[in-house]
Amino acid sequence: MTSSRASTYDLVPAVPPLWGRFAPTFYFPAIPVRLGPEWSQVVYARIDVGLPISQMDTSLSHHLMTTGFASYGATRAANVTVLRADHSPWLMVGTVPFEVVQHFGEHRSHPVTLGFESFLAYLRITFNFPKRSFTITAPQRLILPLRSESQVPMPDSVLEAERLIAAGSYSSGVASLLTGLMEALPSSSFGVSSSSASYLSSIVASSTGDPALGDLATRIADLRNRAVHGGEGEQPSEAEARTALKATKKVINALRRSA
Amino acid sequence: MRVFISSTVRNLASYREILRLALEESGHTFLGMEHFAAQPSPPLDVCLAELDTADVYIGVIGDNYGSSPPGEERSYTEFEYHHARAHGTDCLVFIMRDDALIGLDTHDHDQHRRELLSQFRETLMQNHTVDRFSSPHEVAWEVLAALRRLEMRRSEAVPDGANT
Repeated sequence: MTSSRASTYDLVPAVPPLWGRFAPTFYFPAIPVRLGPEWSQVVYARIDVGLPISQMDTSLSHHLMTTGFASYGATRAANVTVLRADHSPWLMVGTVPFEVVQHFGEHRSHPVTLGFESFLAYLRITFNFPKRSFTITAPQRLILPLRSESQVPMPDSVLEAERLIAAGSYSSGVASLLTGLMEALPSSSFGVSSSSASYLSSIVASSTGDPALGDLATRIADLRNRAVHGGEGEQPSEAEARTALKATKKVINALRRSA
Repeated sequence: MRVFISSTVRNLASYREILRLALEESGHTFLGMEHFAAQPSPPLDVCLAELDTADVYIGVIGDNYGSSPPGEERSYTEFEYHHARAHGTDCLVFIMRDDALIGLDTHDHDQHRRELLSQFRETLMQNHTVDRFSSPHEVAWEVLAALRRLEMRRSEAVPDGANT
């Protein structure tokens, strides 16, 4: 099953500062995205149709550098997943180059601005100003599979991991699996920031009442640590990544049933 | 203006993101806990110190009372509001409508915290003329419009020649 090739968003309003009191109010396009498998936070990225290469702010770049993103001199490369307005995953655009910029004189700046190269180059954007909205249309090959209503919905990170593993990115996929598993933990365990294997194991075992599932969670966490911190020869194989995917779904399903 | 956005974060993340975009594109500075770097001080102290640098406090109140500092009953959001009032910072308050477009499972299940939220909302409505919102884009509009009114009021309050 595939999802729609088009997704519609509201335009974001802006009112110029007082010194431009005669300038009209305007709207601009922004969309929710996730960058890479490891960083699960949703960011609203501004779209700039005149920008040749996407940009990210220095502070975000520094953060991403600690979570395994590729760096090529003054540019960064990150996998971009576009979300629908309800934050369900919609498009996997793939690796997008980002120019790292510092907005001097501003306390903060837009962390991500999306431009043409490897992003808008693939998409068609239609503005509907009377409705203050815009629609992005994408090629079918970028569309993420729609969740079946009959299945237990998996966290977005697990869906992303599935696609990454299918595309041969085993380390990134395994890293994303653990993020999905953390998202599926019972809300009572929120606020505990540890992602250690022993912490995961104890939470999963106590939540499901099945120590074997706790052991499974430990193995997933160990594999993730090998994927993220291990050397070149220690990266997960395809078989290990696919086994970890099945194991993660099994643990998440058990957590959901016990909730 | 330096605008401090006070709200719960977990259930209003998209609201805060849209507000951040709208404020920054409009030439304001968004101040919020998303940007706090690791610091030795407790989170509440960091929040309140950042609030002290703000020109205006914006309270965006949803259906969740939010988390509290260790050992305290009052939430971070409520601490921030009372701190802003005590320091004479202009407060603009926006309260979510009951039909708001938000996930179904975001409200407090704890009855006591629901009561605390209810009391906090009552306090806000007694002290301020509040605006209501149902979506991130709606509250962004309302905040920008309120800031513009505040800017104009402030500029009109400056006597002629005061800036020369």
